[in-house]
Amino acid sequence: MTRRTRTRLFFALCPLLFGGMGQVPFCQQNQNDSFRGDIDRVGDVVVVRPVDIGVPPPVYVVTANPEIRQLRIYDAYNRTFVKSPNGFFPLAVQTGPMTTQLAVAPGDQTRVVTLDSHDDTVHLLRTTGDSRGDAFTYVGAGVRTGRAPSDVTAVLVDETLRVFVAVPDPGHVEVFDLDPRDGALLADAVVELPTGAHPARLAVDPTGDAVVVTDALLDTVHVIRAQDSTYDRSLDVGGPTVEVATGLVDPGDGLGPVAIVLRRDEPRAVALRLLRPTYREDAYAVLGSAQLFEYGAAVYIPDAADTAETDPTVCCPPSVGFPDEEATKAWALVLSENGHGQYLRFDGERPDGRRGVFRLIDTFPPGPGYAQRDGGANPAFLTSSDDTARAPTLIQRERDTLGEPPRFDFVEPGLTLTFTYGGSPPRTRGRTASYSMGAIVIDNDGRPFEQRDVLPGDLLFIPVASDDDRCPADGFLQKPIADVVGDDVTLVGLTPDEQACLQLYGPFTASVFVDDAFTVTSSEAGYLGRLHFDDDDREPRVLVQPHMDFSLQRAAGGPPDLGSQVVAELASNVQPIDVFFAQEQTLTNLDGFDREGLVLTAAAGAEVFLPGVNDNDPPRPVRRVFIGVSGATGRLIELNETETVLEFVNADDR
Amino acid sequence: MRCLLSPLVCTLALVGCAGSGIDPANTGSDVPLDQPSFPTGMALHTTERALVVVSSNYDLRYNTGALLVADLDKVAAMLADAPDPDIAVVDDAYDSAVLFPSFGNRPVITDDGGHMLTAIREDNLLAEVLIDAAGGSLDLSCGVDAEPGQAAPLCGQTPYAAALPGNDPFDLVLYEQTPTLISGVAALLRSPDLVFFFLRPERTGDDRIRLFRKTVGDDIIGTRAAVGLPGDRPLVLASADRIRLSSTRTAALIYWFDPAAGDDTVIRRFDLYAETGAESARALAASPDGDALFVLTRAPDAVVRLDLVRDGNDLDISLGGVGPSCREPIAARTIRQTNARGEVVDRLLVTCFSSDTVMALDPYTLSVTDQVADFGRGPYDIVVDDAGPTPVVYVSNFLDNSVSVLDLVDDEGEVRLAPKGRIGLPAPPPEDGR
Repeated sequence: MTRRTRTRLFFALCPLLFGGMGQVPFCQQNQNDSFRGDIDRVGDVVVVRPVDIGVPPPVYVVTANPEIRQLRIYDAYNRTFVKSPNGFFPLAVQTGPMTTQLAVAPGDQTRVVTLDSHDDTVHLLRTTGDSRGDAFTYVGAGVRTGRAPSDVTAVLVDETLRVFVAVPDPGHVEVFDLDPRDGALLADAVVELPTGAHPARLAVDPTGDAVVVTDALLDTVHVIRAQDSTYDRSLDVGGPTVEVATGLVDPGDGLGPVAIVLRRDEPRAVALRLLRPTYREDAYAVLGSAQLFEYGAAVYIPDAADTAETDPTVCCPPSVGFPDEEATKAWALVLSENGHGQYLRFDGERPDGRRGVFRLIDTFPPGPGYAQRDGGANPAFLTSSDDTARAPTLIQRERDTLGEPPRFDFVEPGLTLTFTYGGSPPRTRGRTASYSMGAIVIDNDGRPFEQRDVLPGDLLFIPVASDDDRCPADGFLQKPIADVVGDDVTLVGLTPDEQACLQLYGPFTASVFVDDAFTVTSSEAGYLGRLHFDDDDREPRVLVQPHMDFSLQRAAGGPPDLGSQVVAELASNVQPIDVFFAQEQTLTNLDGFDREGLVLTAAAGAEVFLPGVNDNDPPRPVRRVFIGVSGATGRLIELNETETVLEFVNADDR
Repeated sequence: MRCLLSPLVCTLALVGCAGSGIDPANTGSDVPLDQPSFPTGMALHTTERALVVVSSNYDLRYNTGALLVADLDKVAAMLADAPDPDIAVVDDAYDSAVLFPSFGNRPVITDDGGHMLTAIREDNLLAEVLIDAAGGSLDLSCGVDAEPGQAAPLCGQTPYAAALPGNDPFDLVLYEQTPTLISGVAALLRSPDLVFFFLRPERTGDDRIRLFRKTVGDDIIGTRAAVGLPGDRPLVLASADRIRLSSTRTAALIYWFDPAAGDDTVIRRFDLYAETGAESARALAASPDGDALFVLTRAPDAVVRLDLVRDGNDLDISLGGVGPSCREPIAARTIRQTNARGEVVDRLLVTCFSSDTVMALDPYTLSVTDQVADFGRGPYDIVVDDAGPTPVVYVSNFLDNSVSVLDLVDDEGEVRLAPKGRIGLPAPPPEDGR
């Protein structure tokens, strides 16, 4: 059965499969309607539903197109760009040279806030006509911000539109209170962030309580209380971040506002729990972090509250074998730098059954373990002799390594651990050295030798080829290490003759080997450290890896030969739902999405309405996501929330 | 000079060959020396206030190309109080020149200011020009005198030039400079090889420039750019395209090596395609601290930040961000300035050929902070002069033969790109206006 056939079968059976989950909008769509737009490289995307009147109420997607210095307006119902008054061209709202960021305040979708990072200005754009102007015209003259602002967000405070602007150079956030009717500046303020801050992006939570500020330099994200414009706290997320999104989901213990920030230094998303007024808990906290397969570029979190028309979307439409227990309303979509979309969940389960683990949704959740191999043993014992009776036993145990807050890492596909008996720590083999003042002095390679995981008790091996009687007759010298300070290594039991030999016949090469222990390397991360037998009194005797640990049991026949290895290939414990938006030749459009590559720049979503299937059918409500794309051209990708089949995703460019 | 690579390679080392690459019988027009023709690369002189501009003669309208030297003090004085940058033009800035083979690329100048090296694509040459700054202005020479009827000497000839064993040399990186030896490496756009070169300034024979080549990898189509990474021990980082599905379906790659490692030179790789999906990597720029590398990519057009961590003479590379760019980004430079409030401001400057744009980006968020558009057609190379009274950016405009002059700091002391004027009157666009 081809994937397309499977997909069609799924959609045919969809109401049966998901009948118990209430309304499932993704079952109802004909998503292959094409549309033509006229956009260029999209900087940002927001979705607005300015008024709740009309059948259907209008829903627009506003895109920032800095390359052509215009905003374009996409009508989500008609699935075409709003036309200009002359009817021949799409409506173009002129902007400054670099209007890239847009924002909409929760509770007031009649205004879009635009930020121009070249002109340092904030403008308001009305999204519905009023007595002062037509729809999609500017309100007032704009407000000047600090130099080179990087992002904007807004919240409605009483009748005032409070606009927050991140300004990285001074490291603060500027706040402007604007009259939404005429754009007049009513008040302004500056929220200072911790020293060294470099604010990157802003997002206000759906309740309007907090503004989350990512930081491109510090390891923290900052929280500003929106209602009184005061800095509240910084939360440690482990590294610098840029992208952020907020939404409303139930992470396992009740619906509430959440945020996801994307680390820029590693492929990892960090979830934050924001204020839930009726809960006895810390107002803002890190919920957990999830390792990603690719670096994140943008993120979308749905609003998982019921509306009059739709229920929250359940992730995800099943592929064959999709496990029922992975279906969740607490999901998010992360878009990666290399064009993938992957779904995460906030309410993953710990081994003890508690909810609240933030992680990738897993389409095939086996427990941790060894990979299946067609031939050969796994783990394998590799030794120079045939004495397998001295093969150590590798013992693997499942273990909750998530910690608190939970940090979910996955086992990389194809990850191989290699345990080498009597191995060498990295960069400790064949090092040029000399003897001086009672110590072996290792030539510095840019880092002191003491930082090379060399410990007292390790063996230093020095080949010395000399007929001198003072030198070892067997051509090498091997001594336990007494201490390492800087690049100086002192040895245990070095005789005066041996000292003289080293002094006379240096420089020489020196290598370190661990004594009656293993060095452990990972095919992914390189050197992990050393590991002793489980009957040894030295630490460590357990190697902790994500979701499991390892120990080595000594064979009855004794330790293996030096250099013997135990090699274990592990099975990946996560198989994510992956929509590869940059995939070639996979769409009905023969060019695919990516003849020239994609940069996914932004994601926004909302409940929208589509025409009925038949002419007389009423408009259909559906929750949709719109992804802004930059590349050789601009694109707007449109998909239903939780869509997993690329075939049912629309994309068009100018 | 010690032989840096294996004896076999040294044996095969290509001695600087004769290679003017210029047909002396060509009787076309002489290239103008008061304005470049299709300007490509530029370099600021390392000790004097001068800008070298390569006149590439890309359409071969003239007999040769040229190297032109602009007096930056004169430029600064004439543009100081210009009220309208659109009409502010310094048309007599070039006060020194040599004739040069066509298709020259970005020159590099030694720290002492005495030698300039340039790669020449069509003829596959590495050409040296001597610079004499003793008289206050720069005199360019290359061991030959101007022929009768020539306005300047014709450079690019043995022993001040060497034919490279590979097609389309592009970027040059100097990694070692002593009074007796200048060592560098040339990246080739259409070859899996790198060419190391060793210039001995005291020699005047065919052994003045010696070369050897080293293969990066059989899957390499060509190296797009190379930069030196500052530090106690120099590293060279390069961007390349490797074969993916076919020679037309490529994958972007970053590789790096320790050029002074001699026989131990190991080329290490970072798969940029796997991390970003980019098919082609172009220009590079290193951050002032050497802790980040910025890569301009095509397919898609984007700016990529790579975080660098040095470990001795090795390097750990990880992705630090991707941001969209203007159309066909072509050159990048990093700058560090202090604004009026004493804040240190880092920026990445990028030129985009197709969208006639110069952008400045925050190097950490990759947000665009400034954009100057349509102030010069086909912006190509970019250099930053922060030795003058105020920092200034120069952009060579390939399609209109001018050099844009942009202010980097505004009247309020904020870092802000703004047009200031031009060196040379821009050529009018084609008649059809496209």
